[in-house]
Amino acid sequence: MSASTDALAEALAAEHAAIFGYGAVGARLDKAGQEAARQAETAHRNRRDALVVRIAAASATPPPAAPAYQLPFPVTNRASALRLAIALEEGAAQAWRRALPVTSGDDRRLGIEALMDCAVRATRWRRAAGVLPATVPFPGAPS
Amino acid sequence: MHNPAQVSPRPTASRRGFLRGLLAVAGATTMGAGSAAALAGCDVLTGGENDEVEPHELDAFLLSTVALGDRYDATLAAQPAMASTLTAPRDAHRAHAQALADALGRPVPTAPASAGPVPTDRALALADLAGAEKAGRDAAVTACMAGAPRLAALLGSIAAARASHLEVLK
Repeated sequence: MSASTDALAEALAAEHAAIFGYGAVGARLDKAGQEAARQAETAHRNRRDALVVRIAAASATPPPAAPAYQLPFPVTNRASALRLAIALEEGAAQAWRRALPVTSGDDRRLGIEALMDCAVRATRWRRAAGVLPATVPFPGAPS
Repeated sequence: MHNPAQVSPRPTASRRGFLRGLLAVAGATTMGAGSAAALAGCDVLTGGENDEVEPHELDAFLLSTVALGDRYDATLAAQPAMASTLTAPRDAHRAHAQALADALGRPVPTAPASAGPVPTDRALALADLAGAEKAGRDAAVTACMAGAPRLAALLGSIAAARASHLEVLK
């Protein structure tokens, strides 16, 4: 696969992981939190679908979702659920940022929109978690 | 004024650099790049320093990034009580300017003083900064789309940071 298709495949893997992870997030939040998690999961699903189309159009095989993912830490309460939501958005942001230098045109635009969406959602989750500051100077940059 | 340790003072730009920055902004509006480049070679800009930095298509964007941080500073000076909300975004704009200047191989420029005073009302100040962030976000997206691959990740992060600032300015 080309560098751009490789990068999009990595972004797809991050989107798969986010979709899986939000299941664990929503289970530990109240109604409002569940709605935010549902909307975030929808955004990730939409990008997953767009990526599958693009990778297939490049005559490459889109990596499928794993049957299950190992969460980075146990999600047992609201605090850990919010921490996971932040981590899911940051992880996706990192994959999308890496795609930017090796993509162009519509692929790069998809990447920019994705990076912005992940940064905005991460900031919302940080606010919900009381993490200050709620913004980071370079969203998607390696931590 | 609140000045966290991690924010280093901006280097004072030379007069030549300041004027070049003004021309970069003017060139983007009325004069045109050709006139700006011609004037850049004119004696009026010889400030005794041999400035070898060539004009770059992102000069105006870099200048506007500095100006965005300046707007936050002016707002913070007028309304210190907003420090808890505005400090992190302000610091981000300074970091963006430094990172972009480093990537372009030039010093951080000094932006001309902004035209209007900052609002003294909190809600109006938030709306004012949000407008600037939204415009800046869109400019960063444009710059990222048009820019060289080596600048794409930085410009993308700048766009994303500005998008996230809109969340805390609500």
